[in-house]
Amino acid sequence: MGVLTDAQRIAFESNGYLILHDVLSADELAKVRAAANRAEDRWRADLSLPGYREWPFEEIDAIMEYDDVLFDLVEHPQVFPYVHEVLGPDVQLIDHAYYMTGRDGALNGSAWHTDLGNRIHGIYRPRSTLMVRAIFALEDIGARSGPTLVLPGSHRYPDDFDLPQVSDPVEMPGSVALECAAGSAYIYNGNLLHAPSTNRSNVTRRVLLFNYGHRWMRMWRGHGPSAALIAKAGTPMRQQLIGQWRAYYGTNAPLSTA
Amino acid sequence: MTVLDQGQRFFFECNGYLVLPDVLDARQLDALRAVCDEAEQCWRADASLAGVRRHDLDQVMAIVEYDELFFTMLTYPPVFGAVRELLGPDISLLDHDYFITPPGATIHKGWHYDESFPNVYHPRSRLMIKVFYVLHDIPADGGGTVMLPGSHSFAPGWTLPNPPVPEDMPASVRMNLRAGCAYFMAGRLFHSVGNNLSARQRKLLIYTYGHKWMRTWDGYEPSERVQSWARTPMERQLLGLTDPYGRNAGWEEKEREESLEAIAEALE
Repeated sequence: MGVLTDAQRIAFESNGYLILHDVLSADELAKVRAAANRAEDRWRADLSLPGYREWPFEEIDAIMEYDDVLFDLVEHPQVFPYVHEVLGPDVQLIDHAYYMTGRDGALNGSAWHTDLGNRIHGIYRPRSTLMVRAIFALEDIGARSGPTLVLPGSHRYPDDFDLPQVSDPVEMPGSVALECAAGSAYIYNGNLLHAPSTNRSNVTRRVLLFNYGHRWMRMWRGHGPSAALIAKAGTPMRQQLIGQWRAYYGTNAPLSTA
Repeated sequence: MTVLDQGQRFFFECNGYLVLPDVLDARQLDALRAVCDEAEQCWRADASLAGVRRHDLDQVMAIVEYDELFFTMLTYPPVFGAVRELLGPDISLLDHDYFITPPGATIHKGWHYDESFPNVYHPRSRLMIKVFYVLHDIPADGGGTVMLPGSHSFAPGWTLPNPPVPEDMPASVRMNLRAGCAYFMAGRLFHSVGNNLSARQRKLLIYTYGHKWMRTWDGYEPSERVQSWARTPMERQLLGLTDPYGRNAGWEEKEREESLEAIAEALE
């Protein structure tokens, strides 16, 4: 029996996303925030560390490298089983990052995209599930705080679907803003059309992102694990997740037990 | 300008495979046979070298590691150009082997797909193309690959027979071809090795191409020596040395000429 209820399974299949409310306890959220703050301090102090540094859009790449607490999130028991179920037992991480979005960043309609985009040839995307992103909210994400916008069901659009041109991402007809409280998470199919939206609040939007694919796929450049991270991967699933498992042959790693 | 003409393109789309007759001339064949023989001797003399050593198959794994000529053949324009057109500009190398099937080798229920991944809709995806260079004539009873044309597009849930004798598959075709030909097939095409009832060894040089966002097949990661042979962006892409989700290497007239020059040089 899977972890997804029938309602969740149908919702994910139909819409391409799922919000998982309150997956982090208050204590966990405090620990994750503290770890993210430590990572941010270190990243700001060392400009050689990879990421994107154009305020109000900042991104710390390879976030699991910074702290064990952040590494553990890749296999969070309230989120990872869902990812495992919708992607399959050959799940592996593709990239991982910490996004910080400040107030009033300028966005236009071209921000709408899929994560598979034009990067991946050879796959019939509307009927495949190649990637699933899991995003943990570290702050409340309301309508004004730059929620991710999604176009429900668009993961099944044909490749030549004619998407309307809009001047601001929020103007996309039929789009939905993924609002949730701090400590919640949402997952979405990598072929789902989505866009960032402008943060019009005074609170920096902070989310941790884990993008999963399959173990026969390459990890995003710069997201391959360091020797230190490999040494910390104490379970077969953790090894599979960071690309330290056979790509094609053999069995998949079993789900770790708590 | 494309390598494949419209007829070849339609044939591949409909059938999932294509034969390219006489793509290797006598000089190329001689050179490839010679380096294959050397590789085989080396492999037989050292049991630690990777491969399959069975009574019905000798598979020299990672054949590119054995000689630079195998590496230069990766981008042999008449074949590579065709495969690139079918797979896309993000083409990469997944594995590479030298197969020797001895006389008398038989296979029981050998039909299979190379490409079968969870959560991929295979009938309309194209993840791999496997290229076979025929180094010696394969007679009709010589164990040529048997394929089921069009099966790469069969919908999920098709139940296909797996007859004890591979050649008994209804509507299948055999790749009994003369030396110097190449053939390639979609990774999703249902196929089997045939029974080699002839007195000859069947010898094939095999390259499997995929996409650069796919990992190299286990055990085929290129050594530093092979990496040092990669001089062009396309060669680096093929070996998995470029950004898997970034810009694709070019393959224009200049690159095609460079590839032909490299092969000519390797043949000298």
